[in-house]
Amino acid sequence: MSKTALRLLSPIMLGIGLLVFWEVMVRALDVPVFVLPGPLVIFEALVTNFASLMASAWATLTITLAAFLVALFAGVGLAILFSRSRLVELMVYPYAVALQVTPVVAIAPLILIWVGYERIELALLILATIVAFFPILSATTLGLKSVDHGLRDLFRLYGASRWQTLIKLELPSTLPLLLTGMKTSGGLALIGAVVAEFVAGSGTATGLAWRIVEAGNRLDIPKMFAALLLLSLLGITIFLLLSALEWALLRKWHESMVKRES
Amino acid sequence: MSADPVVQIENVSKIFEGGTEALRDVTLSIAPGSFTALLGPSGCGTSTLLKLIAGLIRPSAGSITSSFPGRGHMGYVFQDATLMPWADVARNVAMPLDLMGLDEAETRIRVATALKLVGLEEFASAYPRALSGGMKMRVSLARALASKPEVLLLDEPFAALDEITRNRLNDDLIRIAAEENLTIIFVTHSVFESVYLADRVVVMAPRPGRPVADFEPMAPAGRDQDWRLTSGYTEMCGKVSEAVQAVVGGADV
Ligand SMILES: Nc1ncnc2c1ncn2[C@@H]1O[C@H](COP(=O)(O)OP(=O)(O)O)[C@@H](O)[C@H]1O
Ligand SMILES: [Mg+2]
Repeated sequence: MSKTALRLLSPIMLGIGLLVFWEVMVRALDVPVFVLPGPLVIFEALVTNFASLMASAWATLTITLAAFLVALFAGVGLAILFSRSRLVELMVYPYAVALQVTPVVAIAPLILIWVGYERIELALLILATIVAFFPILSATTLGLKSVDHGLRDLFRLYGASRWQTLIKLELPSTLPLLLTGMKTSGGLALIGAVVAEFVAGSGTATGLAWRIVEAGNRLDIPKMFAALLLLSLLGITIFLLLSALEWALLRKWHESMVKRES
Repeated sequence: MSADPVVQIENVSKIFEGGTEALRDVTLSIAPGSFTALLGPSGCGTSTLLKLIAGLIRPSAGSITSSFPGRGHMGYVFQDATLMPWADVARNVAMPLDLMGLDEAETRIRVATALKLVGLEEFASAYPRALSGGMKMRVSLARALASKPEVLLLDEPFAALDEITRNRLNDDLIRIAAEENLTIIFVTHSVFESVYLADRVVVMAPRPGRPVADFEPMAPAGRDQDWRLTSGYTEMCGKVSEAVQAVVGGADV
């Protein structure tokens, strides 16, 4: 069997094995559905609630992607500002850190009140962005600081403008670190969106997190699992897409993409 | 005497912010078409002097004038190849032209010419990580040549390479300097390299950095490796060595 096939097949085989084991055990031990439903029951719940679950998944995904994009542009933008002005960095960075270390669950009620429940989407977006923002900011800040000094000198020698230096030297140098930051940030955006939905609570939220709460309240455990499954599929998809982007942008030149014999 | 100097350094001193006196009262004029080697132990201010000439830093005192103001007239090669890893060889070599806003057609011609000069025509679309150390230095040299500079500043350019590769690059540099009618300022720690390459060797002393001896080895035009075996070469190496020994006091070489 080829190595690629092995890499793709082995986790799938393990997954199928575990699912079969799960189903068999649930049946053999006669576990009640409200404690632990088997995979088949969960799948059934997924099919019955397909329309509402997909609508919720879409709502969560929209918030997650929007938060990720805002975090990306704001993080990169602020990092560029930091690299241009040490004073701005010294002034602002501590607050960025403070925002990062304060648990989002604790900030959420305040943001919800400020923004208002009638604009719940905006509140969710702000909360998810706060969570997703920091890895982008710190990765880009570090990247911009690590630009090769010799190349900087050459750019000055040939009279490069600030814009040329940014586009042709600083951003490409930062790209590998930024992409790593983006992978972390993409996952965090989803976590942020879910946490924000939990805090926002009843009636207002429409996302997957709210479906989980709702199903839990009704002891509809199979539906809970179905929503959970969709959530982790969202997370995995985001990670895979960002990994693919990383591969596409770095594969030709970056050391991390080199396959070696030893 | 001869034509006006290409670079005129007059009473230049450089004291860095931390208080390090890197250069004190340096006066040096560089004749057009000359090949000058700056020779001295580490810390004698040679890198600082090249950066001053290139206008990357300002002198604390004194003046530096170049007969070719404006960009693109000076090429600069560091000890590391300092290539952009995300760009292929052609785009690395095109970097100066790109920054100076040359049009695409002219850029393509100049890149091809520069790659031919260093013998890397075949590698235009290779990425730096696929190249050996010697080839990376060739790319770096081609990049410095792409803007058709009058002056080429080389800061220990081949110091990190093995001797066989270094000798080949030295011969290539001599050929290119003659073909392109370049003025070259070349920093090295090697007496043998300086005497082999240059038609003028300036010995520098450290703390503070300053020139202490000035030799005209008069390397024969069109010299090749055979020249290393002549008594003229050996004698000149001996003389330059003595000057260097005097600088470092025969110790801590
Ligand atoms: N940017 C800088 N800031 C402070 N000191 C420096 C700087 N660059 C060089 N120096 C100091 O100036 C002296 C000469 O440095 P340099 O020109 O790099 O010497 P060389 O290239 O001959 O080895 C050294 O003592 C070095 O530590
Ligand atoms: Mg140096």
